[in-house]
Amino acid sequence: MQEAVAAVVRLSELVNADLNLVRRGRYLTADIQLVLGAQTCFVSIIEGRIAGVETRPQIMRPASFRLAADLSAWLRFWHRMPEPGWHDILAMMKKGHLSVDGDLRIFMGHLQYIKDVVALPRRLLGGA
Amino acid sequence: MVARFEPIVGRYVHFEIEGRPQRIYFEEAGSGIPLVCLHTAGTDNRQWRHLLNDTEFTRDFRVIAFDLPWHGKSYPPTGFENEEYRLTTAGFISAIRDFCAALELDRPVVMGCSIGGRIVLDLAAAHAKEFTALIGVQCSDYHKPWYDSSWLNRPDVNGGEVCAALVSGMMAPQSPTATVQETLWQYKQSGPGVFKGDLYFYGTDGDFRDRMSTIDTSLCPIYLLTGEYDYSASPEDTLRTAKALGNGVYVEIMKELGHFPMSENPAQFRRYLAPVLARIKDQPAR
Repeated sequence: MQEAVAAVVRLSELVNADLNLVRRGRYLTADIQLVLGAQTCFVSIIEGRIAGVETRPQIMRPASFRLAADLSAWLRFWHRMPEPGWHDILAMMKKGHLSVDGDLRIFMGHLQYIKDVVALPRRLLGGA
Repeated sequence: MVARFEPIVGRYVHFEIEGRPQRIYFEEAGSGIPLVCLHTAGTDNRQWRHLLNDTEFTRDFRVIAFDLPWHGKSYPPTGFENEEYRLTTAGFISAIRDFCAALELDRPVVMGCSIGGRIVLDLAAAHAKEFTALIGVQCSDYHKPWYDSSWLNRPDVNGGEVCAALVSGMMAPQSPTATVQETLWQYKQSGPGVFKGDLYFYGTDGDFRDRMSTIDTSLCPIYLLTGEYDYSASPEDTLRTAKALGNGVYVEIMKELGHFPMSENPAQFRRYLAPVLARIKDQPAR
């Protein structure tokens, strides 16, 4: 768990160093939650840049939307060459391995940016 | 730099589909057995450009890819502004058969992907004798809708961006970035509501499960090719369809490919297509 959470915390440097990704997300300012089993990561996005990632418990902290899956599901998604069905968050949703709830207009309106952001831990956890 | 021309030639042909005049754009290359290619929902015939440029195939096949009405360079029919676009089974079948008739094709092979892969089952059931063979890429007898398609056409979400983002994960992670992005660009360029309108056929009008027994594969061979990373028209869907078709149907689950084999990774796709086209070429005349 610790390694996965640490990788999510490093989204700030991974996203902010990717100027093209920041450009594509420039119209998104939102707080989102990534739920890895029992651990919730609070990710603040300001105009496409990651302003911060917090991992301490914060009950009732609002968010535009949250993406939730078991840690094992995230780890399969974050494999460098994921297996079929574990390679895309919508694929995982279809199979019931991941859920989204909250303001779906924001989620769908920035879908590719969000897909690309949440896939970035693959670079750190990708395995062989 | 020396200019390089491709062998592809594009033209327009006028004919009626379900009583409405249409101006249909198509591209072709090669000579021999006519091979008509059908694009996926919400895109156009550019998906087939790599096949049209593949001289190993165009030596024996006249490869032809047309844009359905509302797609690519085929305009919607006159008066379209007063209707909501919906692809129906009857309209799709008419478009294919009327196109083949307009070009006076003699028992062509039809190869379709996704919605195009689904419609070949209708062609097999009702018009098998008109075709030399049918190839269903990402083919299934039923596509269960799994998300709210209203997201694809509404004023507060960019239609091109969301359509592309929705299908981006249907491609295999091994597929080259350049051809993946080109495939997504086609979705970004699609007309508003066209992808959604095509899905009406795919998810609502096109449930073929109770008609599988009407297909006689001895009248026209059927070949099924499905990419392993496609979670929309999945390998399980194709294998179920193949099982319902019974013995004699050729089915292959393609490694390192997703929902758009011919455009996301043409080099990988041709490895699977080559033996199919070789079989069709050697097929005894009927």
